[in-house]
Amino acid sequence: MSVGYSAVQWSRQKKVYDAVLWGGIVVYLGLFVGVGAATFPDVTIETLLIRGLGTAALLLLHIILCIGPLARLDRRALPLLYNRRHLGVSMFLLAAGHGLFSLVQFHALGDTNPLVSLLVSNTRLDAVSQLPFQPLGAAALGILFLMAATSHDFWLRQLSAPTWKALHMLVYVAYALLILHVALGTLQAETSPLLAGMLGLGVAAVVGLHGVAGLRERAADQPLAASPAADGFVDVCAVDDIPEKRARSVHLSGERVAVYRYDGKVSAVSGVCRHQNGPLAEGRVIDGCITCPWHGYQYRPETGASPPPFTETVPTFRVRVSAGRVWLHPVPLPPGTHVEPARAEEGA
Amino acid sequence: MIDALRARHRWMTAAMGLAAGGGLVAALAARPAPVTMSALPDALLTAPSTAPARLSGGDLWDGAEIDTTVYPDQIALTVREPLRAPAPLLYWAPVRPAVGDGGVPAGARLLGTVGDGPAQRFALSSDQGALLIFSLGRSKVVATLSLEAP
Repeated sequence: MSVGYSAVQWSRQKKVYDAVLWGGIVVYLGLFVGVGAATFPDVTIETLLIRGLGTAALLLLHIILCIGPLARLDRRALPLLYNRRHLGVSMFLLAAGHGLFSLVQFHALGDTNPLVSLLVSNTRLDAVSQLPFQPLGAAALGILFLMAATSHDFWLRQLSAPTWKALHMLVYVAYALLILHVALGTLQAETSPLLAGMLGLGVAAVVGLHGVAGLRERAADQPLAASPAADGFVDVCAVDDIPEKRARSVHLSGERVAVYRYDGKVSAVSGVCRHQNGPLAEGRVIDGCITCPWHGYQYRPETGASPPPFTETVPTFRVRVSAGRVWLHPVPLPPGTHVEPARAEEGA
Repeated sequence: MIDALRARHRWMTAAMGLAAGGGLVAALAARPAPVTMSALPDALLTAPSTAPARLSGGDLWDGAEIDTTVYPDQIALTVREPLRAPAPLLYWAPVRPAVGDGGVPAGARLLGTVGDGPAQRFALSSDQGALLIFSLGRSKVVATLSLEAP
């Protein structure tokens, strides 16, 4: 955890982030409703709100899904990643507004419970264009609710990072459901190619970025080809391959290891941050601590432990430098174990 | 364990791409052709009038742009601009109502549904009174035309 951590981190950066986010949402909804009312005077305000909230949520979901792979491909996108959960919760609120207004407008005026009506009003399965699209949106909203409700470090801590991440991977299921919801719903009656084209571009951007980033990650996760020495150490890279106060990521024992060079020393810790499993090898040494690029969690290079009063720890690895090469022992030591750093110029 | 999670992430994004992309393409391919109201079979259409026209023009209506020809026994309409009023119905009425009225006048008779597209013909039983288009969706008169000679 960062030395600057406080329980409620309403930093200036977060306030600006949220102000820009909600300012943008209000402007979008205002423009959508205003232009819509002027262009289509017969459309009711409820219908305009349903469409405005729905399109805003879908647009925001595309942005959210693009931030992850963009941050993997270009470090300049990292600041967008810091508060991505704010985007996610905001997107859920917009989607919930869309769902609530739709439920009232289309299902609340009959003698059937609106939720029952939502599920049983269309049971046609005989043609693609007639498939019930509203339950798909409702299922996606359920997933987004689970994600929004657990978008806090309290739940991250309770569930552990891998479980929390596995839960939040359901966003991809929600995204596919929402694309089908739109394609089988409004696009069936839409004659203009504009909306279909925009949705197609959005899907291509999300899928394309994830594909490129995934291929790059997969290439980085290839195990080292070098054979271990008699004492089990493995030659992983040259000292000069590691920039000062930065790291090189190597794949060892089925995991990523961050090999850091700093102040004439070399240390190695697990490449997986305890917070959200962020890539520690892509961080920097700041104030003598390895700093995760995602949310700023910090660890001392020699021990893999967060500076007091914080208690997070990551596994460490024994390291030595010989003839300008860095050698690692592939067996991780228990999290927080002190390992004497190797001197960068040793044996050079 | 995180390596397995990364592998699952890659599989999930690939599955998402297939489901979202494939679903979008399939839904667009299955999209039905837009429904129009101009495809009445010839047998249901009123035969063209042989009488000379009494009134003709594109600006006869108050509230709509419709090319109109009035014969003694029928009226021919070609809607130039979509009416933007759901379920438009054509009525003959003994008196001319005002655009925006919330109902049709007493004694009005329904002539048919006004659609977009080529000329539609409706039989007239009187060359007096007025014609009106009433939007069933909005429950109000959206256009009127006087049958009286100017």
